[in-house]
Amino acid sequence: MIRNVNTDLVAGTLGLLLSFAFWWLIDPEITHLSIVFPAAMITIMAIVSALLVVKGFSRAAERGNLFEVGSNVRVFVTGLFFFGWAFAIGILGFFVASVLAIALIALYLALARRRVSMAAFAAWVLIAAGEVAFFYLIFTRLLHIPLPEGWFL
Amino acid sequence: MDIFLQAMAALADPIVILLIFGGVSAGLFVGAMPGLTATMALAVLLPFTFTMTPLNGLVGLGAVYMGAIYGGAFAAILVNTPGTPSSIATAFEGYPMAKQGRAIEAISVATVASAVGGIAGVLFLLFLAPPLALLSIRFGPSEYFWVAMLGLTLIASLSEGSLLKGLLGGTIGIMLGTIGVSPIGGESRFTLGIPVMQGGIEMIVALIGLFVLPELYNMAALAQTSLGEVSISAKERSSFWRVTARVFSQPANLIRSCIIGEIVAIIPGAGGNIANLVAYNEAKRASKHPERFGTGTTEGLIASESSNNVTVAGSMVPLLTLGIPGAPPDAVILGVMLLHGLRPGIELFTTSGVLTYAFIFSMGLAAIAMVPVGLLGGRLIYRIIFRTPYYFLVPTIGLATIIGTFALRNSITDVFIMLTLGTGGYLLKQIGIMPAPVVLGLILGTIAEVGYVQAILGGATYRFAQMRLFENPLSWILIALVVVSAAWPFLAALYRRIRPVDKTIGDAE
Repeated sequence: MIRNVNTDLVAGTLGLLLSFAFWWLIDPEITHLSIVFPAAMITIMAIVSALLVVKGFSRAAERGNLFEVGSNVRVFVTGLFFFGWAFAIGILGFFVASVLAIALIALYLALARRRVSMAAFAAWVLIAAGEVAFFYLIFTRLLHIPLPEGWFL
Repeated sequence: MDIFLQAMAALADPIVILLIFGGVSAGLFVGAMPGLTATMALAVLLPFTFTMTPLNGLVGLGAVYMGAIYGGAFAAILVNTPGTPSSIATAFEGYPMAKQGRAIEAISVATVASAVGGIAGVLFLLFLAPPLALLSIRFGPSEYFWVAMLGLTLIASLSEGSLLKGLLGGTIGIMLGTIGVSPIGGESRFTLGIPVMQGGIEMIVALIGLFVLPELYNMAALAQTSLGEVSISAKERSSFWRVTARVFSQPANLIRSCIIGEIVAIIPGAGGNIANLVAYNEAKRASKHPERFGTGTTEGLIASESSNNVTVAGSMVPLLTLGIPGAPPDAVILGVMLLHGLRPGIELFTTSGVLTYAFIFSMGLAAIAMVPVGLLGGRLIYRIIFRTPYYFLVPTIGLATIIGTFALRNSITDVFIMLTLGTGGYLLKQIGIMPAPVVLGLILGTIAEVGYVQAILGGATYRFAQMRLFENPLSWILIALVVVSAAWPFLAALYRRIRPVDKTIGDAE
């Protein structure tokens, strides 16, 4: 948890950085019609951000604790699992990657509260396989939407 | 009249009836899960409608929406946790009732009130949408620009926290919407030279990421176990008819709450989450026994549940007429409509009239279907939900979001965009920038850009082309509304300073 942060100042600074990034990405050769609206919005974003920065330095600045709910490590690792899952789909194929990801995420999150035996984990892998098979069949057979294949299914 | 009969005939299909009951049940299931919102339910179930006919797809999602808003009452009543933000006030009265052993009575009251609210919303939609659709014909590029601006200022001023943060969220959403090929000039913008980014950020991809991922991260952070089961005695179950009579014995409360729900629903960006609190507060103010509120009175429960279900069909008024989602879940409905080539406006009520009215009537049927589904299946659904451990819930919802995102454009890049936006949304939430303004910005940005650029083109002969945005009386009215809504937080703060603070919510808790 990060305590007593001036959230107006953080939000304003972030907004100014985003405004600068978008401004920097404008192609100098782009025509007026294509850029007139984004340019106006970048200006508004910069003004709103600047006002937030000003408010951040005033007495009315909002303060709060960041990342105060639960375990931030678990959030970070769960995020890594999700991105890893998406990467693995292209390499292993949708079915295998998803079964592995569901079983591993369930194992990781369950360990926060309880012990997990090998037998229980094996059962979870089977449950995950059943879940993924259910979605896989619905999408590929019923909706005719092909799902990615890699080394495996 | 002929169009109405054809619309009703279109609903006399076993598949449509099955979709209504299935949709309400699925919505109830998701809505009853704390942390899962109606928007999530619609976003996750969206891919299942891809191969359906436009009517079946819309009927299914409309029923899910109706069921999800009602389903939020289950968790609110039984475990004091609003299943969706639309059920916050339901918890104020429902949970004390459950603690007094009146859980089934509270569920019955919520069910009947929700059904009445749902039907009232459909009636409002039937009578308000066609005249508003006629008005929408008078809208030119500048009016659409100002309507989009109005939507943005409203979401900013009504969103929790500061107006400036809401506006910043809205502009971030607008800028995300400008990534890709320009709708007027046809040139690529902000793509970082990556060819796949020329397609831009798909609205539904952003919607899934920004609404679902932060909730999954929250569940992972808290590692919450399943909530405890509440015992429900068989004796209480028999009180259904008695409480139904009690609901109808409060016509003033019902009518007032339905009207409040509809007014809030028409405002783009505001939805059941605001309607239920406003209606609850007004019910307390109008009550002969305001001191009983917060101790388990049916008056507050009726106000909350009837008003939040009015917003389901009620928020379709700006969606079907102007293409502006009245509430975040409507954005998904808009996605389905656009997917099937249906454009909001007068054409929906003329050329596609049978389909549109069939969709509207189906929401009325969904409201009626909530009664048997809620009363008979509610207990079973409740048990399944609260017995699913969190460690299976997180990856299972993750699976549904990944497969749903991929299926939109058969693109794994979309999955990465969804995950990136979702993770970004979680971080933005920490500093007080909520996902709703960002999503609304993304949706309304495109409308605003087309209106803005076309208006400027129309004003090419003026000394300042932007003056074209200010020349029509309709634009002036919209500009005035934009100014009032942007100034609303300041006016409300001033009003609170003048009047003593109403402690409704604090007391109820």
